[in-house]
Amino acid sequence: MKIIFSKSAPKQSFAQIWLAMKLTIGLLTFVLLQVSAKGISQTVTYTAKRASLEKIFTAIEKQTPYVFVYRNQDIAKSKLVSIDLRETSIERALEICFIDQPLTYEIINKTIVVSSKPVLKNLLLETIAHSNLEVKPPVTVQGIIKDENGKELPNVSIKNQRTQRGTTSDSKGRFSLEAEANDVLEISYVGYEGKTIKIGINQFSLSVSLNPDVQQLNNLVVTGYGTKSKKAITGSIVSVKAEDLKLLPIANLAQGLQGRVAGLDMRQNSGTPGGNISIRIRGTNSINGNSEPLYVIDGVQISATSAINAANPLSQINPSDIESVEVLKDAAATAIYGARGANGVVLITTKRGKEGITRVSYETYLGLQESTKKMSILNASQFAELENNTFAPTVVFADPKAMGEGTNYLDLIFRKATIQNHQLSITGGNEKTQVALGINYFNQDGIIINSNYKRYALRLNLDHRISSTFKVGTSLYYTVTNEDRVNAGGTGVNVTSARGGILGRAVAAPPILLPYRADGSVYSFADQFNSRYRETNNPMGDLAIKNFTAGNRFIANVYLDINILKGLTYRASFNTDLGSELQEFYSPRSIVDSNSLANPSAINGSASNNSTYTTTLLHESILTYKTIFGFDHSLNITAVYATQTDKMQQNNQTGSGFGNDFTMNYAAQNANIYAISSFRNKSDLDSYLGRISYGFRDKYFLEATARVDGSSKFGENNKYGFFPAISGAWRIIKEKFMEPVHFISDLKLRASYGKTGNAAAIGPYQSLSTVTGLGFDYNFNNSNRVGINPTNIANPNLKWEEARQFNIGLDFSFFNNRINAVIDYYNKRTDNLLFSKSIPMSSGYTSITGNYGSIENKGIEFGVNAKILTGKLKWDVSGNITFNKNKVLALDGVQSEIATSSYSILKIGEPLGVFRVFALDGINQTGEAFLPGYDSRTGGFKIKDVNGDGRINNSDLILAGNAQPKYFFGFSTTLKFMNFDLGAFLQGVQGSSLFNAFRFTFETPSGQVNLLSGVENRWSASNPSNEYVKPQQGTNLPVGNRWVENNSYIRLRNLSLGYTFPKYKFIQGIRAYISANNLFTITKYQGWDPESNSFGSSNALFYDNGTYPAAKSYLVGIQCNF
Amino acid sequence: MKNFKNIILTFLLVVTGTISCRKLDEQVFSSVAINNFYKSAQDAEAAITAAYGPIADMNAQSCVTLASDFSNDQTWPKPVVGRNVYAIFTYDVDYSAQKSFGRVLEGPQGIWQHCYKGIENANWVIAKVPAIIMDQTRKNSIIGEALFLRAYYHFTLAKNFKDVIIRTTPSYEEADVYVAKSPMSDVYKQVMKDLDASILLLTSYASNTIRGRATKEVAIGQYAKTALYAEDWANARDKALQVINSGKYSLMTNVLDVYDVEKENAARSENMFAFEGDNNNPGNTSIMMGLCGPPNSAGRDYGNSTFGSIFGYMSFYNSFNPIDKRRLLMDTFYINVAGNRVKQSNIVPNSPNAVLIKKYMDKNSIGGRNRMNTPILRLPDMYLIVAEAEARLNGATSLAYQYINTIRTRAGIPDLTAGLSKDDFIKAVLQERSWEFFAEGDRWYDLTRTNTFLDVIPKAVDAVVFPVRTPLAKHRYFPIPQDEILANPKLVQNPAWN
Repeated sequence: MKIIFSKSAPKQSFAQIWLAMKLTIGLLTFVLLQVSAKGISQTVTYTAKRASLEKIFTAIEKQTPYVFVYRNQDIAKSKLVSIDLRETSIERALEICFIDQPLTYEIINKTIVVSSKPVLKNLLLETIAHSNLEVKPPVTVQGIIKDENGKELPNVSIKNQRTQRGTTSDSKGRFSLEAEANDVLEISYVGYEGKTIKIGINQFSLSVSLNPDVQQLNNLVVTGYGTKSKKAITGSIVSVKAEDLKLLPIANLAQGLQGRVAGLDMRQNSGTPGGNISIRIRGTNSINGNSEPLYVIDGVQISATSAINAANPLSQINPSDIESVEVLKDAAATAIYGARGANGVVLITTKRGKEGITRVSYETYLGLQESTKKMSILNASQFAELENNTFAPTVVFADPKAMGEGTNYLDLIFRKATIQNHQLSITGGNEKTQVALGINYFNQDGIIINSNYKRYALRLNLDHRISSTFKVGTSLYYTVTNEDRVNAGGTGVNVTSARGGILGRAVAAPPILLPYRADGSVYSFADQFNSRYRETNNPMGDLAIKNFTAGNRFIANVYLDINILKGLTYRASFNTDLGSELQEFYSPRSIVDSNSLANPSAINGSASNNSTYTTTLLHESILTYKTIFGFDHSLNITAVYATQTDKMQQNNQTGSGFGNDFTMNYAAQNANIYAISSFRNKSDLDSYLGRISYGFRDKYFLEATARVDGSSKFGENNKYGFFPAISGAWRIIKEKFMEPVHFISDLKLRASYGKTGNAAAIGPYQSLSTVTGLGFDYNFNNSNRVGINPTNIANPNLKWEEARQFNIGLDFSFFNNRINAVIDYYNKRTDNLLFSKSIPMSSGYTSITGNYGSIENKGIEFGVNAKILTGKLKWDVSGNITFNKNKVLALDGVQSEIATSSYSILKIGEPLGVFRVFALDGINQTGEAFLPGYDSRTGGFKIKDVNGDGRINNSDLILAGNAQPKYFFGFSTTLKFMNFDLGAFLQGVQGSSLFNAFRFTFETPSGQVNLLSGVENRWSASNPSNEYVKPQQGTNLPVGNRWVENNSYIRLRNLSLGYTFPKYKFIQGIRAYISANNLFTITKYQGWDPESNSFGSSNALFYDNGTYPAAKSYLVGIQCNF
Repeated sequence: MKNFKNIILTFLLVVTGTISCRKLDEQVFSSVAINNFYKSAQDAEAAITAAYGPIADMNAQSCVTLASDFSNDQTWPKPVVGRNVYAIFTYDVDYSAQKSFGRVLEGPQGIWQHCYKGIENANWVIAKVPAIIMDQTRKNSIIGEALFLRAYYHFTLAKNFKDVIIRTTPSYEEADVYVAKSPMSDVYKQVMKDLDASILLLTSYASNTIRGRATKEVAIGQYAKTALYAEDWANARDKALQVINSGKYSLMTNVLDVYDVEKENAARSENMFAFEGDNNNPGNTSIMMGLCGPPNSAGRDYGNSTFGSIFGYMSFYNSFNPIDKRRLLMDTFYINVAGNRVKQSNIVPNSPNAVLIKKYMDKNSIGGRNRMNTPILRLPDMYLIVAEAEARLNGATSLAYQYINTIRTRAGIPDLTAGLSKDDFIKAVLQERSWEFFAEGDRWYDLTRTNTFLDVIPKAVDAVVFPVRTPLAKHRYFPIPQDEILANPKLVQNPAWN
């Protein structure tokens, strides 16, 4: 009798860990080659004529890891076999051997049990009973684990509760584990509902099928370079899923995120279609640098620029393509992005195809938009009266009343505008290949005439499994954007700059003048009223200026996944981001005054063509190893090597002086004067990073991350930076003492500390001293010679900004997860701030870029979502609120305060964006004495003499609020009843201030421009107003606290009502809805929009010259799935 | 299958192996790293051109003219809509107001910033060009020009701000930039030292002198003017005489021709050193044409893009002898596009007394781009320096009379009354300078170096636009820009302004 117990795999898991560690050290490829060469064969090659089964079994045992178990009396009954096996699979070989045999066999793990047919079940028991061994041998239970579709599941954890020993299933879903009757096996697998199975008496094999855990699949969170189940997350990450984004008809992803993520403060700086957004994750971390987060779209890293007209990645990506957006906030989450993670990271994952039925969906909405605000200005007779007052004793208008209403230019620039969006998505695939295709067309007219934004987007995501080892895939994203822009507001910081944009020009335009000539052409103001108002522009002329930008962006990722070993995968990922943009500008002759037009030497008509090409190439080699060992321990190791190159090329042509408007900017050579310029830069980034996550019993989690970034942009003394982070989580809910607390369904404590960098702030070449030929030319012998001189002083120490962040957070759920909440406290300090420090001009230079300042942001974030009613009437609410405190800790090392403009300063101990202005105290009334200094006159503003020295000068300036909100929040709710759904979304910012320069400009009565209607109540001897000063030509009002306004607001972002039609034939679902965006805004702010900032994403300048106002819109839409 | 796997792995090995070796040095495309520059004759030429460049900057927005001319008793700026220019352009400088209006580079701060940029660029030439292998004569000239420019910029700084920072080496690193200021007398000493060195290196003016470049005589003339400001009368007189007696320059017969843009090359015989304006593009041009011409480009004789921003005081216009040819460089009316005569009272709404200035006209300008050369050093200056310095040394001698009368004769007015006292003669010279150099950025410095501005300025008013002008003693020199004081802990404000 021959008894062979199954051979145990010798310390397999240890070997794998050791191997993985070796690999992460860097021996990657060599080891791979060896491993693949040493693989043990699963096939048999054997030829024999009339051989006994025993002989064949011996041959198979030699060639494969399989062993045979049988009783001699059984095998004796077998017939002789003639076979010819050539690389035949073990399964097939056995089939052949057992044809017509009186025996049966079963493969359990690597053991093949052979017995005569009727006694199979009791084979081992009998074996043991007859073995005469004194010690009861370990009994092995063999099993197979399958998913809900009957497919084998590898890597499933199986644990014997009694022995606390465990194992994992192999690639065929099979496992073997020591167990005896009445033992309980715990079976668990990520993404599936866990199971416990009690072993019956004499039970040695079992088949288990697991059901996917819907809840848990949803709880899979994308982290940098990988994904993780929510319970194992140790950092602060907020995940926004497609379903959340789908609730509202949104023009862009930014709108979908606003107010949804605690800690993320988003402002739409300009309501221009496709306009600029600024995002701050956990406050503003830089002064001169970029404070926008890093965006990662399907693995492609993209930095946002902060210019007011710059497109943000969030406005270029079609929201319907998004699978999920993850916002990484603390150091634990962001350190994996090293030198670029300090401002937080926004990971955008687009939808991928899934195995199964092909799904087609079509979504559309159509809508109408209008301005949210109407500003009241003086009419023609009021303006004429004002002019007479201003220029008294000169009488400009003999009879102001006779001028009547005149022209209201604000009415002429606005319109009701349409918006439409169409999206077609197709997803599908089979076991090997999955595909997702998305096509989008979006067209938004602006509420100001001549502004429009169109987006055409195509997305194709493809995944193909070549074999169990190899998988390839790609994500292709192509967008075309066409944009007609109108400059809404000026970008200067003085009393005239609000008049630089269309809004200001429409207010400033004297209402006594006409917009058009009788023939419909633009009537230049210089041609009217004896040229008196030539210094104001006819806004109709601005609307006739072409400012068109066509952009193309191609973002592509190609990857190859290799499953090297069980749990060990390698991904080679190649990414590119190609951008090209052409900005066309033409200011026509037709808007020029007749005097200039008649002058052959005048320069009339101007054009420019500016093109920009950007290329980003990014390669990443990602090695991931996941394992569970000793059942209780899970280990996840990621190692990445990445290289990135960014290139940018700009070509600019400008021409002015055209003979006619026929060819516009399309024939710049027709200009009298033209100029060209071009510019190119390049930077390289090399990164090495690693992350080790360890989990114990699903209860304790520990993670360590480190990244080394080397950037060409850094100074020669600081080419490489090191960014480590450590974090841990404790799932308190798993503790024994929590068992009696039934109403709490989840409780987890997280803590993290780490260091990240902000390198986005450094442009190429900033550490070098270079020379330039620009601007220092001179005429010799009456012709121009190029002069070349140094542009700056070298700073070999230049490096990234360095943020250290501590975070502690609690995730908790009540009542079986009906209420989920998260609270986080963070304390973030950014040092070595990139600061463009002013240096004495006597050096020949005005500034040097170096690492000087420090900023602190600390705050509390709280987010909650609750399913209040889950019956027939479903009611969900969710909300979040963030309190952040921002403080400047150090500036350039020389000064404790630095003026950033005539109304704002940077000051140590104060937040960014603090306003410093005069305190106005009414108006100097007749007979009242007034202090010498600023605009001191009867009828002029009375300024508080703060230091009491009897005169008004800069030492009387006071700090008057700042632009940092005390808190901001978002709140949304949905009600569902039968097939109806009703949703509302409220968002708000409280406790911030903004300098309303628009009002400052148009309350300054200096003559020749129209003003806001409040000026009707202006001071005069008979009207002792304390609000509006006496008009006087050349008046220069003090920059006063009167214009520092509280711009807190609460906005009903969206209200929508939908109806879902029942399924019908091939139609899976149709939802139709009506929706209104920005229905109302509660604010005390008197400008166009409380979210405005003429300085876009600037960190320290908050100034409203009148930016493109946000629109109110009404939409109808339909979402169909087939 | 196995082969395929090996191929891929080998490929990855190669890819990762190659790129991990790359260096992180920066590749500069649209510029050159400084270590690779200052190597050839061509680099030396480009470097000296860049040292002249700030002269163009000071004239592009004309701070070098306007900061002082708007402070003086000759010209005033017209208010622009919504912008209080009174607060901006005055001896009572308010840098924060200028900053808030984005006009800093039109005022004294522009002078400060551009002069120091010029000094820095000159310092690089002086430091680096000696090591360049090139033609020795040209090399000497280049270094001579750089020394001259460094002197000119320091001189310009001192006459505006009194005690200023002397810089004689380039800013190599951040630590080099913090330097304290020196007394004005030391600044003038450094200027004269640089000029002495440059006079040895520069070549004399000749017919083939490259137009626009400084010559030996220009350096000597600059020395004379510096000595005048330093009250080193003997040197002032002797150096000025040296220029006149060199015979390299001569006065134009008709003073109006000096300002005739069509005769700018002929005018070089008198206009020794000037900002070189031209209408080519790229190129440098001055805004003076645009500012001085009538509003709305209405008077084509003045130029094709003019704004009507600068006018003369009526009192200054009336101070001329009506037969003085130089009064023809001002006007009380203009002929508009339609050919009509637009009278003084209709030129601007602000003041019925606006007098137009005609020193910067170019009727063939291309838009605002004009060819006018703005004088920096003219030969008449040498004559009037001789007259003044001689009088200060020896009283109103015949030598002194001879040189002032040459200028008066050319202007078409009679000789100066004979037998004046020393003080009266000096007064007469200063008055002569006012007529000769008006709107050329010179008058205010005559008033401040002689400390007579407190008496003169209050009398120069316009009933509508500048009804009262009350300068204080502190206004003699402009305050050092506030930005500069804040950025440089070693620098203290001019005490009068504290």
